[in-house]
Amino acid sequence: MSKESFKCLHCGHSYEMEPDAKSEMKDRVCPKCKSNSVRKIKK
Amino acid sequence: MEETSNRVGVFVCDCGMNIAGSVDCEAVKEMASTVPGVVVAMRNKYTCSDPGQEEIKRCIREHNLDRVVVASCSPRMHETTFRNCINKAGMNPYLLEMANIREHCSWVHLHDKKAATEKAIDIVKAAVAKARLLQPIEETKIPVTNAALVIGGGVAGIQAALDLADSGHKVYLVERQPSIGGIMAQLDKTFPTMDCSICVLGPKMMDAGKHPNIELIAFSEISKVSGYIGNYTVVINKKARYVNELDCNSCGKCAEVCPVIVPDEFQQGFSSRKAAFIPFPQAVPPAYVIDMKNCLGNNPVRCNKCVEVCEKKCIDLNMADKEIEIKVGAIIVCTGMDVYDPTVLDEYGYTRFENVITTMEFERLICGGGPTEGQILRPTDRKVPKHIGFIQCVGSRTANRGNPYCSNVCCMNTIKDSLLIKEHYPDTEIYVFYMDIRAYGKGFEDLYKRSQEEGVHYIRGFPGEVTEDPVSHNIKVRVENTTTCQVEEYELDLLVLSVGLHQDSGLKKLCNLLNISLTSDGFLMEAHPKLKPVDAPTPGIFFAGSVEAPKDIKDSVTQASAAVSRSSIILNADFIKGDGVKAFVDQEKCTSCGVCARVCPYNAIYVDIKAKNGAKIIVAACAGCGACSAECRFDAISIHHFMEEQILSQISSALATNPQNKIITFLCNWCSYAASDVAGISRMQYPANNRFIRVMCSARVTERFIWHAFKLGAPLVLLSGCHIGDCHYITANHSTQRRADRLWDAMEKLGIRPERLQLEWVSAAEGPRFAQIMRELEKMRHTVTREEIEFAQRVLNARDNAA
Repeated sequence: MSKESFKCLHCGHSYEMEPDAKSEMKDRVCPKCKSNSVRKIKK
Repeated sequence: MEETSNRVGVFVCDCGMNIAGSVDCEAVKEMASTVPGVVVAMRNKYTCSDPGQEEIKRCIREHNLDRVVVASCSPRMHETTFRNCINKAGMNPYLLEMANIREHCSWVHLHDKKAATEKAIDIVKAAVAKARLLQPIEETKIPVTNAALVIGGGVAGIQAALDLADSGHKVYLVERQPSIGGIMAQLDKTFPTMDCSICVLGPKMMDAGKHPNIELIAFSEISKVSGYIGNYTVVINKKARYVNELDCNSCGKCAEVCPVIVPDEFQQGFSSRKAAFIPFPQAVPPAYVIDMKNCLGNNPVRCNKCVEVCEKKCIDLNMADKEIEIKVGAIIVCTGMDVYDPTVLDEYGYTRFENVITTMEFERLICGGGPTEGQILRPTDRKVPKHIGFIQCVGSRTANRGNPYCSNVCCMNTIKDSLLIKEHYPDTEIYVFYMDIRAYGKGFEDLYKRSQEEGVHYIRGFPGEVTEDPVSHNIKVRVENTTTCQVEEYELDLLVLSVGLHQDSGLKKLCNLLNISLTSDGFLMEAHPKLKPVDAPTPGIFFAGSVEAPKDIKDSVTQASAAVSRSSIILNADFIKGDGVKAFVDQEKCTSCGVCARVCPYNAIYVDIKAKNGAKIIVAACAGCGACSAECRFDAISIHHFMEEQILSQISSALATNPQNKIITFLCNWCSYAASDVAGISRMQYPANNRFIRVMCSARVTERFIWHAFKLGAPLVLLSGCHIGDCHYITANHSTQRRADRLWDAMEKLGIRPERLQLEWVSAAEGPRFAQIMRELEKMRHTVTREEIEFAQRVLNARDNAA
């Protein structure tokens, strides 16, 4: 399964994550600043 | 557009010096009197007091007011007080709006009176703007199911069930274990009276098991909860016991023939039991249970001895779990707590030295019904120890490897244990290593003194080193005695770790099912910590005992009776008034598209897409989150008290002056607004540039609100709600996340930096995080240029004109 890309709109940090296996919605948390203002970047 | 009021009264509260200390209340009052629509503005020392409320009523009569704004504390504190007040003066209670100038202003801007006063003025203006558009709401009458569910059969749950049942209510008492009794059933004696624990509890357990109004559902867990105050439907998963508990007469023959021997959990592993077992002699229901994990009957080669020996034929190894559905009007949660596992604290040697045990293990050793029949025998050589030490606060009051809070009962439990040892073996030397002894309750200090008089040594300091003599297996302890300032060494035969208490392992799952929250320490959150200490924020749900915080038996029982008293208010009524904040449909605008029904977490909207006869709200099921309203593209569905025009008017008012300096923040009532209150109560300081708008759920915030704020020149908007998974409205905040994603995409397309819309999930316990977010947003605000703000205004206005 391909990784999903995210960008934190608080600190600007970009990162990738494996999609949730159960497709459950969870808090998006920036690993750098812990903000939830994390945008999923469409490829 | 709703009818606009021109007869608003504004009442500005000093709250002693709580508000007046950092806000110029006179200036706020003077400004309020000039706001369009306001006919009278008053200032009170304490508006919530009787004279303060009388003044509101007098002004309603004398000035013929039709809307009231009270500028004081959080609406979570006194909204009901003032709604009742204006209702007594003949007004509909929903014609009140509160301006929170205490938790949101005076307490968080203590050192900047000018900024605090400016903010208080904005808050009051926004409240007046909304108040002018408020509409009277008729509250719904909801019938009540006269039955209660008590979850957890420890001492608190048993007391709650008995009190409710004695009051004539039907009670379902659900216990996860095969028997009720909880941790109290495992204790030897109780402090401060030194009663035999099971002698006190046993009769109550029997009463609960036999009461005609109590249906005991043991060995069961809650699997689904739906409904609302007065009308909950609960699905219970009753685990297979493999023994028909109604027929079993506890003869014990099944256990006699059972060949499987496993450690006995009730005796803390100090003795063994069979796979066919009864948890303890006084168990209720008094029936055996088959431990199917270890039973050979579950293997390909069936043992079947217990089945063959049971004369009453009540063993069924093919028994399956079953689901039971019940309907109740109120729920009391009494699931208690777990005891801290000191395995991680290896410096005390719990995993390495057999003669280091926990207080729960000690309870079983000293108990007459325990594995040694009340003799204290140390594990390595089964000799009576002559020197026993206790280390206090194991897993408590530590930020690193345990819990930061005091577990409340450990000091007194150790004092009790020390006296029990002295009673059994007067010559034993006892050493208690402690930080400070907390003996605060009735009779506690006397017990502490008695233990000192009996010769128990209290040494102020925690051991820095615990080692074992490899030959004698004695435990050697080095400790800095902070009273004598000496490093001292003790050789002990037995060391007891006085372990703390923490959240029950199943509590998080239960919270999700019941839609209730936890505080940062992992225990249940109250609707109000002082005024509603046994109410959960979700109406109709109450709690008692250590599920709320660690407490002793007396406090647990007291709280259980308090929870019963609170729940009886619901159960004794034929009908209760439902909150007026409900969705309603404008049938002329509704296209029956069904989007509202899809996003409703409560299935409270019915739409027949084929018939196209408009969405229908099931009012009793609607919880008032507003997700439907925010998702409707045709403005056909709205929420009473949080209507589109009302919230738009708040935004417009807040941004009427110097919008470029202000951050519009939408807060959900249950989590992020509660967190903002906690920040205020804790006097956490942050910049005064935020303007808060309360909604019941973050899902109520439509895209239009965000665009409106940007059009009026707001540099930043924050959307804040409960964490995903903790939403008060089950999954409503999923809509918030999806909407934020859509907004960020749209902003980018329009050339507006998506960063200008921030999203933060803040739980009610995260006051410090809320304050930190406010400080960080203020830094972000400075990065938004005037050109950016003006560009966004031009683009959005052009888009509207084109539409």
